[in-house]
Amino acid sequence: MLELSGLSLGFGGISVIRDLSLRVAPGERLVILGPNGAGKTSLLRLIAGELRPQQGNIWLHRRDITRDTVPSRARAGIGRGFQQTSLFTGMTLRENLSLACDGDAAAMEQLAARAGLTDLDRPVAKVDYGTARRLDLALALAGNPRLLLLDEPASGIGPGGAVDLHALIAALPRDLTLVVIEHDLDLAFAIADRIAIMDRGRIVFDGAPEAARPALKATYDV
Amino acid sequence: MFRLTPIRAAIAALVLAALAGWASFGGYLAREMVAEIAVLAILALALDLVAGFGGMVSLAHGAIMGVGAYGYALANQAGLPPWPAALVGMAAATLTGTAIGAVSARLTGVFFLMATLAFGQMIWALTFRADALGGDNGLGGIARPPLPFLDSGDPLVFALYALVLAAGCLAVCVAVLRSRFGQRFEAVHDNPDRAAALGIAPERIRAQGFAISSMIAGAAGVLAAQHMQFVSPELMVWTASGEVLVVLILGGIGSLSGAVIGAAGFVLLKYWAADWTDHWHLAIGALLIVVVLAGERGLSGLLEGRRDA
Repeated sequence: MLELSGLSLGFGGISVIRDLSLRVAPGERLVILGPNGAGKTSLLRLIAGELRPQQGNIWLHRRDITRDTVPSRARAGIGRGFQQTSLFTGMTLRENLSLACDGDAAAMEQLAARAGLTDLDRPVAKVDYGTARRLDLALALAGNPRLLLLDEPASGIGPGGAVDLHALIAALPRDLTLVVIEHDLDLAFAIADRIAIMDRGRIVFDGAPEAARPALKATYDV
Repeated sequence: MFRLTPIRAAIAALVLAALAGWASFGGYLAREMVAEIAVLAILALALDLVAGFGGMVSLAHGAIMGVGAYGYALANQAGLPPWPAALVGMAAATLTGTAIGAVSARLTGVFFLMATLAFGQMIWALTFRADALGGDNGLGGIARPPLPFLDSGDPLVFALYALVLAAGCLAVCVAVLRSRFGQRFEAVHDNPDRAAALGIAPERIRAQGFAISSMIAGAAGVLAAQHMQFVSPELMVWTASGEVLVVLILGGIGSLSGAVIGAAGFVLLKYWAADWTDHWHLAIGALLIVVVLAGERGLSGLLEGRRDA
């Protein structure tokens, strides 16, 4: 499904990703954990095409997409949720969804129902953060991606909203491959088939969730 | 996202109707001024499309309008009847805009501004030095289009024809913004990262929007050539692009109706102030500052706000 081989990325002499290789199988749910500055978001941005690696390759369905642009990767089936909600704030919820669904009204209604979004004629600029989070996830799911990248999908929302969002993510179809960055360990262990722990641009642990706890302890020094 | 609110539609309709009335009952000067307002309104609509809804403040639109005017003039002088010549003028402007957009659309902010300024100046300099285009003397003897049962040489007929064209261009802009393309165009301006993540290529959409805007600027150029029956490089000087930006800010950027009311306000103020002083720019400048300080929504925004209150 997704294969990263020998990825390296640096900014001004500082290495952010160091010779990183990773494979994600179709339908697998990989959660990436790690301290701040470990390179998790940069890794997700490399997969989405927002950053170009200085070395290494990215393969999606055995096709090298390393040089592909963000839109062409999106059309190839990569959906993207952002760490901070990334919405069309000058539009209503309906207009956001309509744009994402390319004007397909039935698909839009389905997507809204799936994300638990109601009262769609509200301007995005005036909705609460929990609703904005759900809309961000809905936009990421538009177009039925085969690989969904989520960067701390529940960050910034209260415990109740986070529980709703966790349930929403847990209910995603099993054939959808997930790569999720998450600080919330409850969510991470609830949804992960596999956990990778990053530190200083490298993967220091990659394995089953139950085996991850000792490595987490070492990485976070807790 | 663009919404043609009733008040915006009413502002545009009332201004166009008032201009038609003024042309009908005013004298020769009123009719000439109405034609001038129509040309400026069409150019301002073209600029509003890219600047107001696409975030691309262009300083090439005067030059693109000039390409439309010269395209019409040359085609007409080559023996083409006015209507096909008008299509040639608009096509020339669209092609020019497509080329400028293809390069400039990958830039944003001040870099986009500078790139369009450079393109505009290159077009002006080429036209100014080209003997085949009449150099700084320009080209004359340009025909007006034949109209069924009407004489387009009559100033009243031409003024009304110009207003109909302005209304048509306004309708085209509304249709473009309401289309799926228009939705994508505004989305790319609103949030290019999210648009890209949805599979929309921001640079391509911006370039396409610039090309559509250039076609409308070309229509303004064709109308200007038909109005003056003469074209010169003066049409293409960068200050012409700056002037239409002032019109847009005065009228209200990102509303479409602002382009119409701004053009009318600008031309009327210019003629009124010119009766008093040669320094009519001072009056325009003072009004511009007042409008910007009043909320950056222009005359159209002021009228909308007053109505909403």
